[in-house]
Amino acid sequence: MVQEMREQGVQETRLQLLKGVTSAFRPGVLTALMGVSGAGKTTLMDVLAGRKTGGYIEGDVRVSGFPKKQETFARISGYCEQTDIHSPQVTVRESLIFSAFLRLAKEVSKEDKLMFVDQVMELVELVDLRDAIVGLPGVTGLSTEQRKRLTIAVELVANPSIIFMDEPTSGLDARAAAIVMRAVRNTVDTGRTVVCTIHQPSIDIFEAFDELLLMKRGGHVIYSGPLGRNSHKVVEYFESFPGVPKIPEKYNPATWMLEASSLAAELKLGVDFAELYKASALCQ
Amino acid sequence: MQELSVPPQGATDLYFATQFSQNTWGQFKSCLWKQWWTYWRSPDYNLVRFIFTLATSLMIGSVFWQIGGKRSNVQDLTMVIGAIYAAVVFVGINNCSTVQPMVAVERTVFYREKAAGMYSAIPYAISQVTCELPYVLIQTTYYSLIIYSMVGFEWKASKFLWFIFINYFSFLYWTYYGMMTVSLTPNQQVASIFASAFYGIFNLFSGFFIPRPKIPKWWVWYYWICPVAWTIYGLITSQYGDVETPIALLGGAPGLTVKQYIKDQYGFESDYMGPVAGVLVGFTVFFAFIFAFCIKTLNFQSR
Repeated sequence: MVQEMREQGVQETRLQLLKGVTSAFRPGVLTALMGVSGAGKTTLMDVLAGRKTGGYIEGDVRVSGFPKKQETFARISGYCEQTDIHSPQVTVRESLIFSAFLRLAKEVSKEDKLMFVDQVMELVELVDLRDAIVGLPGVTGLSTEQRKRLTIAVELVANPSIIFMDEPTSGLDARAAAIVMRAVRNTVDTGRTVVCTIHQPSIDIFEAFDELLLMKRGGHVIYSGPLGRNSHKVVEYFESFPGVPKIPEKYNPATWMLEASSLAAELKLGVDFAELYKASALCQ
Repeated sequence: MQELSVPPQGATDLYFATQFSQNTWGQFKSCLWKQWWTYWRSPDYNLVRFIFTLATSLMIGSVFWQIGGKRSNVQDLTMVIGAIYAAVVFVGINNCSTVQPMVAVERTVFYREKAAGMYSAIPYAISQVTCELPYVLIQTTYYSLIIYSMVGFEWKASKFLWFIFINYFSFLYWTYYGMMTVSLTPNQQVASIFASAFYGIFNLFSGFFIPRPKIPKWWVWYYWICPVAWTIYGLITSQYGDVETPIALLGGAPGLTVKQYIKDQYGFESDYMGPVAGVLVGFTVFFAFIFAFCIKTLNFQSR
């Protein structure tokens, strides 16, 4: 802890980033992880995926009821990071082959691996770019949006059962975001577990999700449950609290929900949504 | 929630016999395949150092034109030693600093791929070390041919082969030293500062500015751990260690031979080439090993 903070009376030597987060992600269910910046979305994902390099992790992570073992978990999970990091001097197809060869089981034949690579390229529309050099971000090679699709493809060719995606649609135009979401949706429909953090989703993207885990600043959960048709369950949940304004006609529920649960709204109403969530029927 | 936190009846935990899907050899082959293409498609790295080496060797060759055979007086001999020293340090430092961005960029990718459980660190590091071998060999070959013929050293097969051998391992240890500095530091900027901190020390203790017999006793240990010193030891001794012709030294004993002179002045023993070769290979392996070890154990990511 910084000296200046200690002088101001901060006693703790560690900063707690996630507070009592409890949730479950199920196969075949697409879960959105949302919250304002600094709510701890990426932190939560890093903890779950075992990507943290510093800090202390307390609590219990279970996979199918068994305690998580990182070595095994790394084999069956994929993590699309927010930053698209790729070797600059190889082609798109080579990147995918590299990932497939090192991550698919040894029993899978070479032909099958290559076939799988080609299928994934088709799925995320990278076929035309198969021989393009990846290049350095902002300097040469692929654009931001193509790079994002490559990041997703690199994880998909590993055929993981659990996929974490940190802002897969950020920086993409509407059409590209739709392509990515379609790929994600197809993946979920094969019975895989997918968790995405997402920023400023359009109504279409938001409603492609089945469930929502909403966090507020400081790492508290304020909603964890199904979205419902046209997001009606989330909307009804927040509208059920006295003083929360009704959602305007044709308004984006994702935006509305973040506004309704913002710090400013909490101050105005004098409530803490984290406490309300803990007391709600949804949490019980 | 409670229901989901216990394993369903009859289920067994997922178990893989191995941590990675491919064995170490398979991981190495895949990493080498990728690194190989990466190297081949990085002309900004390879061409730059190749052209720099070409220019350096032509420059040194023309500055010290045909003086390799002149060894009748001390001034000429000192000039040859200076030429060899300058060329090795020029090319070495260049190798060291050009390799750094290459390794630094690949390391960021390595962090992601390692976290994804694609391979362990050692096959990755060894593949990168292996990729350097052919490139440095090409570099050494034309560098040696140019320097050897332009400076005009004695055309004797054993002497030329020693020249190539010593230069090859010298350029390799410089390159691996550059890679090692990246693996020890959080980013390329710090790596280049760290590396250059030692350029001066390597220079000072190389045995050219201050010959070993003149280094104070309490500093001479550094001479023995300075890789450049061993390079110069090897290059000079392999060229002049067997030369019994007289050399003129003002105030020196009459009949002083070249062999005796380099022994008195620089402390170069002509029958010491075996250990020199061993130590040069040792430095190369040592730097490569530290690189691999640090890639494996240090993680400069902060998440």
